Amino acid sequence: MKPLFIQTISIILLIASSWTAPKHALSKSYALSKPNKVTKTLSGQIDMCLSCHFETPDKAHGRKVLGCFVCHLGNPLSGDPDIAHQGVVLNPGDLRVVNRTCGQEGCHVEQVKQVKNTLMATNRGIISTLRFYWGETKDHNEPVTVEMLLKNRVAQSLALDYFRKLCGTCHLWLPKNTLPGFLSEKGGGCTACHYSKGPIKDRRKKHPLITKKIPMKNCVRCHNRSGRIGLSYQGLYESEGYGTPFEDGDLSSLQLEDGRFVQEIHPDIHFKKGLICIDCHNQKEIMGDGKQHAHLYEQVEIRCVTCHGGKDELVKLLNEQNSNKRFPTLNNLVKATSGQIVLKGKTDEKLHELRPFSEKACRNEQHKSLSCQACHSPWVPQCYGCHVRYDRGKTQLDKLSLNESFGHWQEFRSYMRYESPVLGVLKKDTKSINDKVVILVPG
Amino acid sequence: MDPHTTSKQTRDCKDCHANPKSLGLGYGNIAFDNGGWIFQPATSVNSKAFGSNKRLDAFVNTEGHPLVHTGRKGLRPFNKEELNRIISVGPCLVCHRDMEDPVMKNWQGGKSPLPCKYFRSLTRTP
Repeated sequence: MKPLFIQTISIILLIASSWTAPKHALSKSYALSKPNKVTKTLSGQIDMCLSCHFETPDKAHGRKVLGCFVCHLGNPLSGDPDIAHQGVVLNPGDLRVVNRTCGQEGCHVEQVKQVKNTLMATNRGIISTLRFYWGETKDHNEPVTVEMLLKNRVAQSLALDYFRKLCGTCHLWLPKNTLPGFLSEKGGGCTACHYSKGPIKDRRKKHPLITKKIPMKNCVRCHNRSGRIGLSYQGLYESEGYGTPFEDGDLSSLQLEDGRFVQEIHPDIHFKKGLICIDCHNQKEIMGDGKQHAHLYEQVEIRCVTCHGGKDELVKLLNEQNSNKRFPTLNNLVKATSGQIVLKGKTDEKLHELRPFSEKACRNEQHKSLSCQACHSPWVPQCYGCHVRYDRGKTQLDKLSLNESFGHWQEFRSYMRYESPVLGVLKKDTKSINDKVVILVPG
Repeated sequence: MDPHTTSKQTRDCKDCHANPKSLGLGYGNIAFDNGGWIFQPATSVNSKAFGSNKRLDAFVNTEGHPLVHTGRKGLRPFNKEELNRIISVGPCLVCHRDMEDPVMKNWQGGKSPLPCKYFRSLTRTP
């Protein structure tokens, strides 16, 4: 009875909405495109959008399952395009509207709450580190977030101006398709990651593919500066800005979309084996655990030993995965036919053997304080003599307000190197029992 | 940080114990003299043009004083005692190349006097 009741009310509302807006109803465009039937989703909800729109999303968000309104808002009861499109959002993943779209009751409520606190949305570590070293705060964990800057809740400063103009393109609050050039693909809230162009070629049916299988390029779109892990992982080393003539006396033929020249050197072994970012990094690390962390190293929980800690550790992890725990450390462990616990690629479903580290080589008395990376990371991009020039007379686009304002920043470096990563010491903390020898990266 | 350049093949022992760049001293050579080690930098700085006499590739000086800040609390370059300990292994690697070598297997961590004549000849006081 309930669906029938809802349907009846909806039809009444539909008729009422047509009556209360005669000027739209009589418009030429409406007369031409007037739908000739009431379209409904599988649950019986009226969604008149479906009579004009044939875009076909993925199965879970299928047009017949959710319709358009549930994600894109607007007025699903009107057949008049002008009324139907009022309040429509092109990108439901945008964090400004996401509570009413992806994060609405019955959908991804928890994930949306968490993602707003994740470092990809807050950028807390970048902001507080900048301000700490520029002498604007004594608190290296200062809780200043992108959202606060967007709402102008923090007094403007030089470090914040720098952040707004140079760093402000890599956060989830950035609306998609607003910045010029290659930057236009960045941002978009949920869509920044869960977006792929999709396989459908038919223009009328084409809809972005909303996916849990996040392609690596979505991660690398942002994770390619500073530590440059997205590039290094693929064996791409950024060479000098002028394009060192490595190839027969000519410039490198490999260039990133932002113009930086790269060389192909040894990729990470996990990349060679076909693993992508989401195969190791879990939901809790990426989308957050609900807490607002101050720095990246507080949010990351996957360690080399998670997978390479030996059979007993893998058994514990598999039990955790199968225990219905909300956010297990790994959720892609499977038991292979051989009985071994292996890692299953989330996109290609390839099985990867998880070999334990060598007790003999890795746990000998003299080297017990070394992190895995100290020995097993033979190269890292090192940017020496990093400096910036500030010209207060020129203007530059503020990537948060999307307005030009006075103050122009330009970054420089003296030189880049990749060999012999520098080692140093990280004092023991809550996550380790000893001081650790780790890699120090300049730049 | 994790550089995300993981390799099954590890860095060579010498890449840490005999490479001043890896130890944060910068490009150059380590030599043994007067019972200790000295660092000979390969780079120099035109302090007049640069406005500082610090070499860009140096994280720490030979006294173990840090020359850079780090982005994380508790993270620092090696101190003097750590530099001494790591560098003192460097000359041994000429003959005792890896952890399979009996000398390395039974390493006492500098607690016992080193019997090696070669090492003594390197470090003897003239």
